[in-house]
Amino acid sequence: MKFTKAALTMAATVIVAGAGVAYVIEGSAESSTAGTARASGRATVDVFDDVLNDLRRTVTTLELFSTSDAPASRLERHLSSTGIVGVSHIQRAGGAAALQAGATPAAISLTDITAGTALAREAAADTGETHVAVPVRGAIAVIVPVYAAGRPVLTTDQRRAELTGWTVGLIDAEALRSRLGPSSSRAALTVNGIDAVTSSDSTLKQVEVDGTVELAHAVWRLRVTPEVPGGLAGATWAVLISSLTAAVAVLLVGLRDRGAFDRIVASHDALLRETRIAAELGPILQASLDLGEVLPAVAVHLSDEFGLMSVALELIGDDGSLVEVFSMGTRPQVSERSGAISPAEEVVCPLVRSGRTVGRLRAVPGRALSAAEISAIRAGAELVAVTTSNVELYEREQASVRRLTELDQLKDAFLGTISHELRTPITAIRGFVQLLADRGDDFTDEDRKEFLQRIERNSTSLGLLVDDLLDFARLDRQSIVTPATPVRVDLAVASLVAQLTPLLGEHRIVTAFDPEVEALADLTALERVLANLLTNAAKFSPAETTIEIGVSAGDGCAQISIADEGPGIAMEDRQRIFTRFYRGDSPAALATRGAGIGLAVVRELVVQMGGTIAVEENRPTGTRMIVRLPQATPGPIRIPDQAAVPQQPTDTARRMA
Amino acid sequence: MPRALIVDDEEDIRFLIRLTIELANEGLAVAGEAATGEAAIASWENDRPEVIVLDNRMPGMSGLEVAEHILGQDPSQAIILFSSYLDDATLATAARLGIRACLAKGDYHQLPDALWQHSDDA
Repeated sequence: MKFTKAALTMAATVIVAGAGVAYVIEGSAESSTAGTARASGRATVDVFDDVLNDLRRTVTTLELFSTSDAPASRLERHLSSTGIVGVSHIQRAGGAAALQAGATPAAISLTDITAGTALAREAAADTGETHVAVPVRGAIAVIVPVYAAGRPVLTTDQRRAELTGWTVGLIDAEALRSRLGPSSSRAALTVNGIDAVTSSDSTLKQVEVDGTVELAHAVWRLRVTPEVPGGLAGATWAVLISSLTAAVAVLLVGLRDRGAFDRIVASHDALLRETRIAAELGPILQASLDLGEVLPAVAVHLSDEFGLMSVALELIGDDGSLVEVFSMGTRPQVSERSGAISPAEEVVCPLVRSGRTVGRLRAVPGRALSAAEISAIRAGAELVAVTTSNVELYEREQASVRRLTELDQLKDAFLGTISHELRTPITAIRGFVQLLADRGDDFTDEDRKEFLQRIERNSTSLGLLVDDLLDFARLDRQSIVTPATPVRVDLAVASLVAQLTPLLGEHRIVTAFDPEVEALADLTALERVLANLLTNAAKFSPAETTIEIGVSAGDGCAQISIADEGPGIAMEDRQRIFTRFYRGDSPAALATRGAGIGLAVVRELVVQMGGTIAVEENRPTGTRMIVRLPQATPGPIRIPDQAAVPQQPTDTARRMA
Repeated sequence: MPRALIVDDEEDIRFLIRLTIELANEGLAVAGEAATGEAAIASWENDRPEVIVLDNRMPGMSGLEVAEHILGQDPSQAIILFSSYLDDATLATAARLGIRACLAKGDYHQLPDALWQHSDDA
């Protein structure tokens, strides 16, 4: 075989020996690639660095030289003339692939190429790496993505945006097989495990050559299994190797021309860096669900890795504003920024989780960062976003557990309280009844009358408590107020005051009723409201003090006020006293009994009647509770809302509107 | 004659206990009444009754807190916890503090016997 120094020269010697056969291949590219094709650049290709089946190997280097004055197309033309290798360019146009130009082996149509390489082209475009496909009739397509020159292609999104097309190198397997000679008609060739030329003969076992070619950061495995004992002729090998090498060389020329190779290398570096950062940050972020532990560790790691001056993490709070949850290092002051440090030097990475921006990571580098490094910081930020979301979920769960625990404690306390509140009057009633029954004759009439009064007072108190409990139990499930009807409020209040006298006996009762005040109300609910407010007034104010009860009309409302001369209710407690189980910790509250449900029931009843309830200070001391109900008179009804408990819309309220 | 201090924030209950003790006519006497824990401690310091009938749930100091205070000064003081709500935790605390007995309010008629029994212990 004649070896001539040509434009494309395989300046190497490859010796393949095994199974008693040794192949010496020298400058084998000459026969198929002789010409003047030249291109700038140089690629180093290791061939056959792994040989199976007792084949010993000596691997040297194939060096492809070309000169810049020969256009790639000439080389392509020359190669395609062998009928084995072709090169095509597929341009992306309007989202669809269109074959722009190419020289392909005759047996393979352009349509076959575009259709058969769609998936591999998509993969190549997204990753920036070379892919292989077998589009049709065993043709092997080596696909390299081409991006717009000078544009960054570090991320998948960038690669998708900047993709201009693909260069496709084709090896026509049929032609290759024919070049291998009649004896190789049943040879098998696989590239990257894909059968390129399959054999119909199942006896074909012996692997003659099994080797890899590394190029453009991809490893291509070439495997040839001939039928003929003794292996392939050296010339055949030359054809095979030179065909594949030539295809690769053409791709390299094309890549070099477009600058895509550099971008692929950069992209590869970025991916490696991203992967490494992810691998390093993973264990740190998984070590704890306490951001106070995790974030400093992440910040230190990023700072060490990228020479950062400062790292800060901001999360979006409940009100939508960014809240800095962590910062480390020194950020340049504004005055410094105006000088040497430009704002662009701060790396700001959004933290995105499930399509939602949850915050941002800000880093100020102490040195220039490469695109690959910025990309790696972004990859770190993505992991931090996942962690912050996990922490948020965990904290929500924890808060839920705490609420349930508190609720459980509240329930226990409530059961204890309510049990005590019920048993105390029951004990008194039973005790006095039993005394009267067993020893009645031992007492004077006056004693017996006193026992009966005590029984009556305790049964009234018990009845009110039971009513509260029943109403309380129904609060969340249904309206406990029947449809409102016109009620004479002045009469209702007067009647109730008379009924509750045993409970108010130690207080002076002063009433001031406007005549004939009507309101739309449920009489039973109104009585429940008044009973609670009156007994509260008596409970929270000293004996012998005055309780004022007023009924008036005005502003479209009937107004009922109950004022005591107790210690009053602190401003901050005036809304909370209507909360269930809330009893306050004032001396007055501590000095009295109660289950903490009475005022919650009162508020619900008033709201369901379409009214409001408010707490005011009674001067000089004490509390004034004011209930306003819609007045039952013709004309528009307006419910004042000053300092009132926020009311919920009810059926009654809607009817009134 | 064992004298009992009655501690309960409910006047009706104090009255009922007093009547029960007096009507038992078994040599028991009422040393005094207190409506709060603080008043009970003051009364105990003055009168040193043989036995204390002590409610637990009261505004301010609870009965158990009162017992802890008194028994801390005089572990031999006889105290009967007389409460309407005696759960396991309350009973356990009472035993730990050295309270002689716990009686539910519904069983008030058993009070005279309990008073005799535990004031004798003292």
